[in-house]
Parts: sequence; C-alpha cells; structure tokens
Amino acid sequence: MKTNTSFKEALTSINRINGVKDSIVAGLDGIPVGKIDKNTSILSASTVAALGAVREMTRSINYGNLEQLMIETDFGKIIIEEFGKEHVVIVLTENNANIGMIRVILKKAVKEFMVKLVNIQ
Amino acid sequence: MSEDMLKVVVFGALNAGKTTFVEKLSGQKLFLKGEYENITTSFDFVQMEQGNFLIHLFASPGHRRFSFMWDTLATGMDGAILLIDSTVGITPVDHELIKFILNYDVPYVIAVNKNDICSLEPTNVRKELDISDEIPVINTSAIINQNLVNVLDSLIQTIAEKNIV
Repeated sequence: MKTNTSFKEALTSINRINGVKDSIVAGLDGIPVGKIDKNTSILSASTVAALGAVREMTRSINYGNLEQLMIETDFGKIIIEEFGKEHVVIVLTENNANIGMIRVILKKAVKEFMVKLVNIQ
Repeated sequence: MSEDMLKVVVFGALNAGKTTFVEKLSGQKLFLKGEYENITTSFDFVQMEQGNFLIHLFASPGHRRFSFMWDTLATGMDGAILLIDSTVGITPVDHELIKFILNYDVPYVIAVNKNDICSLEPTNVRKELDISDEIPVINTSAIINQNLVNVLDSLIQTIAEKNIV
C-alpha cells in the first residue's frame, strides 16, 4: 500500500488549475504518498476516515456507490476521489474555483493515476 | 514493512482508555481527536518515532455504534493493540475485536489497562480469550504511563519477527 510511486506529474496538472490551492495522493491506509508531514498526514488520515463513513452511509441506505466526496467550508472546497483499490486524491480549492473544470481535469488525472498504477503492478 | 513506517491501530471496548493510551504513549497533543462528550466517535491519530520507525498511531472508536470505522482504520495496518479494561474484565466486544484483528492476520499485543485501579492476571486473560502464549499480554495503566512503551516495543518486535520469517 505504501507505494513509492510518484504521482507528481498528474498532481502538477491539477495544481495548475485556477483556484486549486493544493492536491495530494494518499493510500486508503490513511498515509500520504510522497511528502509526509503533519498536515499531509492529518489530511490523509481524516479523508480516508470520512470516505469510510460516507461509504457506509450510502451503502446502508442503498444509495449507490460512492464516486466523489465534496466538502464545502467558508475557505473553499475539498474534493476527494478514490482511484484504483488503494488510493485517493484530495484537492483543496479556493471558494471561487471553477469546480466544473476541476472535476473534468480530476477525472483525467485519475485516469493517468490508473495508468501509472497499472505500470508498476 | 516499508519506508520505516508502521501503521498501528489501538482497538478496545468503550471506555477502555484508548485515547489516553495514545496520548500518553506519544507524549504529545494528538493530531486528530475525534470525540464528542469524551466518547470517540471517529478516531484519534498521532505520529511518533519509536525504534527507528515513524509510527502512525490510530485509536478506534469503542462504541459499538461506530464500529463501521474499524475496517476503515484497519486497512493497511501493520499491527494492532487490543486494550482491555481490567475494571470491567473481558467483554463480548473484546471477543469480537480479537476475531476482527485475527481476520487481518497482523501481529497484535494485548494491553490490560487500568492496572492502577485493578489488576487482571495475564494468564487468565489469555485463557478467557483463548489466545496462544506467543501473543504478548501486558498489564498497563495509560493514565500513569505504565508499560505503554513496552507494549509498543513488544508489537514492533513481533512485526519485525514476522517480516523476517
């Protein structure tokens, strides 16, 4: 799970989008892939826990499979999307970010992540 | 085991002392403390260094209502610590948690907590939970920081031995 694979290129394309503050990749074990510091560790652990809780909610009310999680605060939005069986990408945006554009590029980035994963397996 | 990192999850029944355990063991303010009115409703999280490892230390919610978090927290764990409340004794939740941990096939250690109030004999705990002599059972008191490092060191050693074999 704790792969050394760098998702740097795909994250760079996400970070270039207007309104994106930062993005990171984490394992579903709640541990960040790449740079590990206090902030990325907290973000990874809490994201994975939130995903688990929301997935349980959608499952228990028979409301389909969880595809994406979006959290709104007065600072901006946090978009969370799983890819593969073991990873998640987390995107932090500003309040005025073009969410439609971010979601389109995020979908593309997720495909790139998948290719990278297949290549290392 | 990779990159000198270990994910360790502390499990236990409600009020066994999991949050105090990770607070005292890490010796620092928790990065995340997911509680409401002193009951952990999501999870606790902190990082600490021990024996050349960076430990990602999680504590699970003990309330049965939040047990759906157990699987999420257990994903990718390298080892587990099961905390037993010695003032209550072995409960059905403890039996359930042993089965749960065994399903993940990771090394684990049992900490019989609140030893400062009441002591349970490790041999009795072992017998009641039907676990082998290889599993370390250690009396602890999270509140006075008794044997907490021993529990973690013991787990790290068991994980290291498993990875050598």
